[in-house]
Amino acid sequence: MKREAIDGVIAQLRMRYPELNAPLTWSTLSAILAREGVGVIRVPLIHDAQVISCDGVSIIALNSHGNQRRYTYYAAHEWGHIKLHFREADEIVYHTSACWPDDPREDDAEYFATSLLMGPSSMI
Amino acid sequence: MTKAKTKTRGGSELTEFGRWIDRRIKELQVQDPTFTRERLASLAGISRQHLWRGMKGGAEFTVFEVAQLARNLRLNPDSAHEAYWKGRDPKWTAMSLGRRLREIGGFAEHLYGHPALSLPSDPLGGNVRESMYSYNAAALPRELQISATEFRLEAMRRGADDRELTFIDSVLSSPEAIFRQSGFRGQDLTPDQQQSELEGVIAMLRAWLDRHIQRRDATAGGGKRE
Repeated sequence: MKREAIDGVIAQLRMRYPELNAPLTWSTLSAILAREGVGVIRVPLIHDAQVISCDGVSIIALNSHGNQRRYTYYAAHEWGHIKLHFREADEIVYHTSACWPDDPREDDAEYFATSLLMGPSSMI
Repeated sequence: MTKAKTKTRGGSELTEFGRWIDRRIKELQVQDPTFTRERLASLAGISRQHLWRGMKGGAEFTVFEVAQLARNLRLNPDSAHEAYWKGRDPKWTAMSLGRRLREIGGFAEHLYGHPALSLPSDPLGGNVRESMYSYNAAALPRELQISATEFRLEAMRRGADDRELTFIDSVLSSPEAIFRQSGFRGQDLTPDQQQSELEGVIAMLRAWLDRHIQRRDATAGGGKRE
């Protein structure tokens, strides 16, 4: 995706959730994800996080053995996949495990997460 | 990597897979003039925009979507997978899904003996289902197959419908879901890591199923009240 398109998605989210106009914190993100109906679970994983989504129901899994200080970043990254790459109602199956490490969608999600973590005054 | 493309009337280009779909639609239209791209999208359960973007290479299809398209085009799903992945990814080109499915097809016999694998209906079509399960069987050690099957039984006991079971199957069976961890990302996982990975995937699916059933029931309840 073009950066402008991702910025547009983030701008819309900041209008819907004014708390995103400050650098992202875990409490802010978890409250927003709860309002968006996105489930967050902590389970042992061999990597940091992953997400599945189908029929508009999304679940983010965070590695329970991972560094909790990084949870905000990991969850924001997975939320990026949901907002940027999954449509909510018009398709049946999604799961980002189809993303490869060199998949450009990973870059999109990184940019999304970093922008939110740094807040609107960030220059990425 | 190069993608063979063909020009369309609007100036955009179709991928090889797009041409494959387009050609088949035209063939089917000889018998049924109402069989359009829009109708195919509807039958396959995807939006027509997604279908069109996918045919032009601007959107990715999942394994499941490719299977659904093949089924509704009345074509061999393995050929569809080959047509879709051919040229898209060197990993798939070298060892296409269709070829791998045939190579490991013998595993399906073992799995088919399990009652959990008798779907109440067959949304994917037998050939694809067999292929997907055989892939799953090859991807997962026996202990993990049992864990996956037990979760599927749990989902059925909880009243998961066809759509929900199909999603669960697609996650548990697709090469991206589990097998990729050792096969495609170059990470040779220990059995413990494989077990942990599968348990993580199942925990996600369980959480997803909880919410999906809740929402489905709430929608059904709301409809009754009206």
